[in-house]
Amino acid sequence: MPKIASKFLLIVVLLLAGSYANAVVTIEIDQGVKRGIPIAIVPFGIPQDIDEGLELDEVIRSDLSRTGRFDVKKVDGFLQTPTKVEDVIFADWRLIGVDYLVIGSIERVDEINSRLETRLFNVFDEKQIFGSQFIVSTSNDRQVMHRIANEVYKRVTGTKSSFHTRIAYSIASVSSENKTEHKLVVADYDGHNATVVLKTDNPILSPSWSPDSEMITYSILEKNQSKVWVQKISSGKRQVVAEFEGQNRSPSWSPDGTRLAFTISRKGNSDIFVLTLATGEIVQLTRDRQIDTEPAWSPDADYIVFTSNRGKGAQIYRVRANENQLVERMTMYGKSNSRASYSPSGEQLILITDQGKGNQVGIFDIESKSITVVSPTSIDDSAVYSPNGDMLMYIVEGRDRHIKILSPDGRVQSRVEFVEGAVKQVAWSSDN
Amino acid sequence: MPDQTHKSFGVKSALLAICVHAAIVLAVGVNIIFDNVLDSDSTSTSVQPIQARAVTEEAINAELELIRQREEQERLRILDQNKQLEQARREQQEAEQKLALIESRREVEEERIQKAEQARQTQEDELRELENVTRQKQENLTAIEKEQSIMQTALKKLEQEKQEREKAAEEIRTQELASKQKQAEELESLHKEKARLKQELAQLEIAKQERLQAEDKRQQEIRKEKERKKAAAKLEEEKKEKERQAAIEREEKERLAAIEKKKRQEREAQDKKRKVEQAKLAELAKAQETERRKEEEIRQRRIAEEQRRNKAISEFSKYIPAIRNKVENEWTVLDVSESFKTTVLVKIDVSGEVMSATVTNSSGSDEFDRSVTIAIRKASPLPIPPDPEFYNYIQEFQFSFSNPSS
Repeated sequence: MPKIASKFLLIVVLLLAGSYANAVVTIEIDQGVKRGIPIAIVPFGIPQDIDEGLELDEVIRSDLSRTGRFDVKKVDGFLQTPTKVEDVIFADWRLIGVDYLVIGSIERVDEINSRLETRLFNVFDEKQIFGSQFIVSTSNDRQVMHRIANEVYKRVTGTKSSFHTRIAYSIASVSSENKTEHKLVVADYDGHNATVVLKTDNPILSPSWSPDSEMITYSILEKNQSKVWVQKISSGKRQVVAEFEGQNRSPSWSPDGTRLAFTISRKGNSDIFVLTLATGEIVQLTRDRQIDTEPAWSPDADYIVFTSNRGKGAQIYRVRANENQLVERMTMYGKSNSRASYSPSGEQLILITDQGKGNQVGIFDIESKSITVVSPTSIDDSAVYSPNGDMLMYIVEGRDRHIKILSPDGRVQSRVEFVEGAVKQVAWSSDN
Repeated sequence: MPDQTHKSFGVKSALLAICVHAAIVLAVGVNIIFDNVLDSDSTSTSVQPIQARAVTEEAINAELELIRQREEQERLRILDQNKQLEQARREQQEAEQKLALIESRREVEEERIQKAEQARQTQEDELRELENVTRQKQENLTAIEKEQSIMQTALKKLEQEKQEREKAAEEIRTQELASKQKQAEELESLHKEKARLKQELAQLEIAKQERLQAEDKRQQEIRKEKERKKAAAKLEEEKKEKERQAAIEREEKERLAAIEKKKRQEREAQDKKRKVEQAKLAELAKAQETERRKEEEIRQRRIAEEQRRNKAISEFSKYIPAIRNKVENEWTVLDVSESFKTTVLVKIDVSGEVMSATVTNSSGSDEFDRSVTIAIRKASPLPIPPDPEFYNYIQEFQFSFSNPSS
């Protein structure tokens, strides 16, 4: 009997305990704000004898800012500028509304090399998230900064960034002899470290990177025939891969690197073909009396999107890369949509859309078929995704043709520097 | 069975005793008769002067015949006496038999003792079962020993009796021997007086007859007296036997009483033990009752606590939208394609200041978890009911963050 009583009591206690445990109030949060994550990158401690104008930390600030994912605080608002862990007063950083803090210091190792030590902190729990050490010199310092920016980006947002990648663009400039020069330039994504990889009298069109980022394909319009070329960047060695009857244009490297999609135009008709690089074999994908052009591969290589005027005006269509004649129209709205290419996730297309306000950069969502205009300008051309989708790039036409980087939400835009000449087209390398 | 033998032995011994006594009486009676005869002879001789009388041949012959007859009678009496002696011997034998009987009775008694011993052992076993008390055993042993000593005294008594009986038989024998001598002397004197007596035989015959009759009567009385005495002795003996039996019984009773006492003591000890146990149980029950009451009190307190808590929580729930708003405003969502969910346990101080925000269920993404805890930290202090009475119940709660469905 006492046993039963005690058991009963035990049950009661458990029930009470259970109800108590269940009664912990839980507040559901499924809404937040899309805005830059507040971060402070404190100017790195630099020995007196190192060039003061270097401002390597600014590279990180710029990288993070361009994505729109960070609210990179201005240095003049800092309450302190610590360069060592023991100097950090986290409360000061919380006070100015910073979530994350990056500090760093450079020490000279020898004439050329310095050692850079950086740390990322969570200002709220006052813990270091990561620390790194690099040997830097003038030849790699910006690349090192981009790598650090990548790491910060990754550790804060949980996704990859493209600060280490490069771009290729073609420009036309007038030489001193009053002659038009066409150049193909390869540079860091932010325009720095620009290298001319090809100089020619003829216009260079539609550059496209190989998946390993070691080669570029493009077409060059020569006299009355345009050919498709493939060039190795490191050596500058190049060769024609397509010179079929008519105009061979708009090459696009397949994700596995074995094929090129391109167009052949004859007598006002242009169709999409796929060239297997190893064999030179071609397969015709579209057979339409109208113009099908600007092909681009889906990341899984199943589809090729292209621009066609087979309907009313220019619209985006897609065709199965391995089968003929199965063409679907993708864009339904807008006066015209053209120059589409896939986002790294394969879920969106970036394109130039005319929604009645001129040519603008638009993001087309494949599932919902909706287009979101992201560029503030209306004279845009040649829009591409960064290889990790953290940025967009496009060309602003007009008198001052230039390249712009845009955050995917369109909020943050920045001009790519050191572009000398009228930029025609731009291509972003792969992540490699 | 022993009773029957005992009875038959009793009857036999009684008969034997009667016979012995009868023989003794007879012998004594003859003596007396002779004494009287001699006395009367002497007196008559002294009183009556011998006179010359004329005695006929016939009368002398008749008197001679009478003397012969008396001699014959005397011979018969001696024979009778021998018979009596024989009988006395037999009696002695019988007394011995009786002794044997007593011996066997003693054996029976011993058997009984043995039985008693067995009973005692059984008792002991019982006792041992109840409790291994060696003291009891010793007591029992002493009781048995006492009994045995009593039995020994009884045996001694019997031995004494036997000796007494032997003495009595010896006495009878000596008496008989004496009487035999006397008889021989008497015979001689009788022979001497034969002639003289012959004359007076006829006269004496009548007186003798009368005397014999009186003697018979007297003997009968004596016999009766003896019988009475014997009966009394028997009664005495029976009484003694009874007393002995009673003593044995008493002893047995005492022993049983001792056993009973022991049992009672054990019972009492058990009772005591049981009482102690009952007391213990009662105490336990009391303790349990106290415990139960305490638990009931705790339960009541818990219920009251629960009510206070519920009130606090219902008050707190009014502030939840404000809390949610503040936290949502501070949460910078990460643009991730995966769906994440993170649970965070939050502790606040009385002013709503977030003291800690601990991830209790991670989304699997450090970055997502971090964005969540930072949002909570930044939303601090959280809007909570200002009444500090509620603080105890709302100082800990959870946030469950899931990334916005795009």
